[in-house]
Amino acid sequence: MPCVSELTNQIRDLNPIGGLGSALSVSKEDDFFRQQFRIMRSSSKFLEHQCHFELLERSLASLASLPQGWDSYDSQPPSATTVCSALSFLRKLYSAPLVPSSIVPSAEGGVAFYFFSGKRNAYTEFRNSGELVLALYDHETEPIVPELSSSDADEIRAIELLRSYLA
Amino acid sequence: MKSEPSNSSEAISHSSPPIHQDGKTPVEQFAGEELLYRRYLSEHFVDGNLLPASFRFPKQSFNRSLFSKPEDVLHPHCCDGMALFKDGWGVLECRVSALPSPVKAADGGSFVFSPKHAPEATCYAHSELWCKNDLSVANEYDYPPKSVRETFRIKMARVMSVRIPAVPNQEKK
Repeated sequence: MPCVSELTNQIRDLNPIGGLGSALSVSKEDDFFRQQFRIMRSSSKFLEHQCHFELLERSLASLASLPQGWDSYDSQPPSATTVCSALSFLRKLYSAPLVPSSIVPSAEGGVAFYFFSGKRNAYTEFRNSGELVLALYDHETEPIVPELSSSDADEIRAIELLRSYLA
Repeated sequence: MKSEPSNSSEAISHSSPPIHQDGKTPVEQFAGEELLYRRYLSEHFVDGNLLPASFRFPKQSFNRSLFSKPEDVLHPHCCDGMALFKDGWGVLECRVSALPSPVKAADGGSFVFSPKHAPEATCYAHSELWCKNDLSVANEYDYPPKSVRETFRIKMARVMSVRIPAVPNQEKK
């Protein structure tokens, strides 16, 4: 993922206010600013998306330092291997693009990604046992728990299932 | 999930300690109206929803209200000496009659969840949720398959409500 400062510099280059010549007509200036406004608006959404993923990446990395019994019920902290798998999954989500609402430690020993979309929710958990869990649920009906292996192909399948359920 | 007003953590920390076992035997019967209390982390409560990530298998721990105040679950005597009367921790509750049970497995089998009084020396109210395959006759815990575990976690998160809200830990923000 490109870092935010690189993107900020790119936007500055796209916005040559200082170089605006006096020869430009009023209508050309008008068009120029309209165009710049469109660029900035789309760029800021992109930046927002970027910032959100960077925050998620940082919070995910911090889970590796949780102590044993972090939840006071003797749960294991996510292992380094689990955090690495979860970081790899986060990058797949970034490319998808599918934005998790929250990333938290799971009491089962692992990392949980939560997705909230109106009345429909979902989570994926990467367990220290190597297990990948996906659950799709709302506030009323029976939850859906598809059978998944921890293979790369099933991570992609999990993203497809998430996308279609939350759409 | 609903939130209710609560005492401040300072007031809670000065209340009387939890009931100790002191030789008392377990009380097997749970009334449907009895409440079960459990502590939670603020991180596991997002957009008004408790996350299923706050539960793990097997034998989820609770305090039964017959012998416990809600705040007892944050007292060091009920959490292995840890002092949790501080930001970041809150207390959940649910009625015994609201426990999601039975939960059906994908193969058509069924798993029953029920509370079991499991007193600890300094926390007489300590109880656990036990899972039994409804075809099993042995008095042992039956570890359920994945679909049942996840369904149970999701349904538990639905039925638990906040008794003492967790204030987000400022140090973590």
